[in-house]
Amino acid sequence: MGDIMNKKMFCSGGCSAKLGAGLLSSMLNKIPQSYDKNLIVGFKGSDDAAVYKLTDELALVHTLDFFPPMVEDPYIFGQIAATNALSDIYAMGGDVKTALNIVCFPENEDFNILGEILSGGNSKIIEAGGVLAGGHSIADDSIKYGLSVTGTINPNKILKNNTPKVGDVLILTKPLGIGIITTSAKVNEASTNSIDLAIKSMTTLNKYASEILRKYKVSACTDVTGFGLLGHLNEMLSSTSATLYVDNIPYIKEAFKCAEEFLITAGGQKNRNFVGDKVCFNNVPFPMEEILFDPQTSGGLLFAVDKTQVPQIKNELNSLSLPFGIIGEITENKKFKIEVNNGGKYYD
Amino acid sequence: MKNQELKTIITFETTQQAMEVEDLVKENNIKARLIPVPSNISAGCGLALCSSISEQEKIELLIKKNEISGIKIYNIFY
Amino acid sequence: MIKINAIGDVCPIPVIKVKNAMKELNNKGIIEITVDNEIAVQNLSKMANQKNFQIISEKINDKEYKVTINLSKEDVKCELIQDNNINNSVVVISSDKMGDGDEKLGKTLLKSFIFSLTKCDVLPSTIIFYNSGAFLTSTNSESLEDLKTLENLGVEITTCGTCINYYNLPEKPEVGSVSNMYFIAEKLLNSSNVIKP
Repeated sequence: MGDIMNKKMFCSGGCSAKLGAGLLSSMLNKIPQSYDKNLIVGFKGSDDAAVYKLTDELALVHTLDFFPPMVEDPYIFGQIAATNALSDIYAMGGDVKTALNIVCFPENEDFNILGEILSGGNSKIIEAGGVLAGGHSIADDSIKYGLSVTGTINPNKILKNNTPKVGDVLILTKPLGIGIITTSAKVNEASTNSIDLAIKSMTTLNKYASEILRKYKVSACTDVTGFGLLGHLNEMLSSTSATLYVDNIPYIKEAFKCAEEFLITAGGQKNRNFVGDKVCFNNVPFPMEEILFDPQTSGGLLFAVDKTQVPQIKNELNSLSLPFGIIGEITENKKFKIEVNNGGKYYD
Repeated sequence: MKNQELKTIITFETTQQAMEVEDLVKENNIKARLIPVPSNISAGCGLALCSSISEQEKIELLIKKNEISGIKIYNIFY
Repeated sequence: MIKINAIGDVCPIPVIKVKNAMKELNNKGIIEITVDNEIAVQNLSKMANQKNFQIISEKINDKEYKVTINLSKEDVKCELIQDNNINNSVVVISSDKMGDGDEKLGKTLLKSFIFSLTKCDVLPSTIIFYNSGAFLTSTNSESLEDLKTLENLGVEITTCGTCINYYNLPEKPEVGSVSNMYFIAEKLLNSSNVIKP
């Protein structure tokens, strides 16, 4: 077992491996979409998962996610990939039912590694209350793993990602800086504490946060992954804008130092290229900008909720095992989609 | 100090080429303009095309399509 | 000079290689690094810019970019603009072309001249536009952004009203004020330098 734990996999970046958003959206826009009135959420709205109505009370939630390893330990990688794939169900407000493995694995690699990956993945499916129902694997040059997940939801309780209400506050349920820390770890520039916190974040299911926020007046919800906080927030905003406060944003402290040292990802720069011109930074230090563009792997939920409910929801979120932040608010449409201010704002 | 941004600078061998490409980008609604060549770059012709990085790919395709040769592509803060 | 080959390296390896080279060179001299993608160029550029080092990247082909970083901070670009460095010269733009000869070239040169003004350390107090020069402050002028930049830096921009009227241009120019010949004559007489490009 110790042997396997030491097995190193070549890491290339988790959600940093996503294709650039600009490329993707220009291709997707060219695909004709057929019409089915039961498809209540499809890819037009760049939402987290697809939702298909079966009856007035029941809809299917459908998502898939997979990527190459960003950590060396295969079991942990399996857990992270599964947590990440399951997250989209929670972002919609649904419950996990079944999952299928998606595997790419080199034929001449040690199959024990694959065993560890699948074990890690399965542990999270079970924790989510779902069941592993099969999967598919192909031989490939490099390792990739993830899940196709099916969940259920009441069609009247779907949490869409692009319907935020002006005046609502924005809450983020996991710390940022995961991309920067995992990248710095690859070159031995991150402390064990930070790496452990990053792994803890990546392997914590969004189930717990989702079960809390469902009880409140949430106007929009998404999970923060490869496009970074700013990229996913931008997808949320449609005809509104948002103001964020740097001091309110939860992040792994060491990520700031690493960003100062330019231990940043290609994914972060791609995100900056895609949404950078929609963001106005007011006296924000450069490393903080990088943290806000940093691609997250299996990140937290970002949601907009009624301001008056802040005291109660804050109380409940305090029971979560990771730091959260009330990072800003939704405003009327402004010149810039997102304004980021240095300093903080107290929400109570 | 003026706020500098990373820009795409394209230099040409001749002034005619520079003006031809200026017309092409205008026709294709690409935001780019001719400027004197920045002092840290040397080139045959004293005019260069300047744009934001996001336009670079479109401009490159246009130049390839119109078979304009001898151009050089730089990225600098300007 | 240190030459680095970072072809095939994923971010942040190119940045790390450059940082090591900077230490080796004691932050003096030139580093030349080749990378194989635009994103690496952009990340290197961010770093150099934050550290105030001059950086130029040249695209050799789709998979090769040559990035040159100059570590001597005193090589500051002459295009830095300092606020409030305005002298008593007046620039006169008496035509929509610069120089005699080819019309297209003339218009391009004038646009280029106005752009260059935005990069000068010391700026004129006033730019006066008359005759076909009036087109430069009107709608459809390609120099409006530059002229507005100059105006924001404290340069007075003014256009001859008679000329606006003669050429049937919109009464109010897009940038600056409208003036008459008295104003223009006085400005020219009171300046220490009149510059006509």
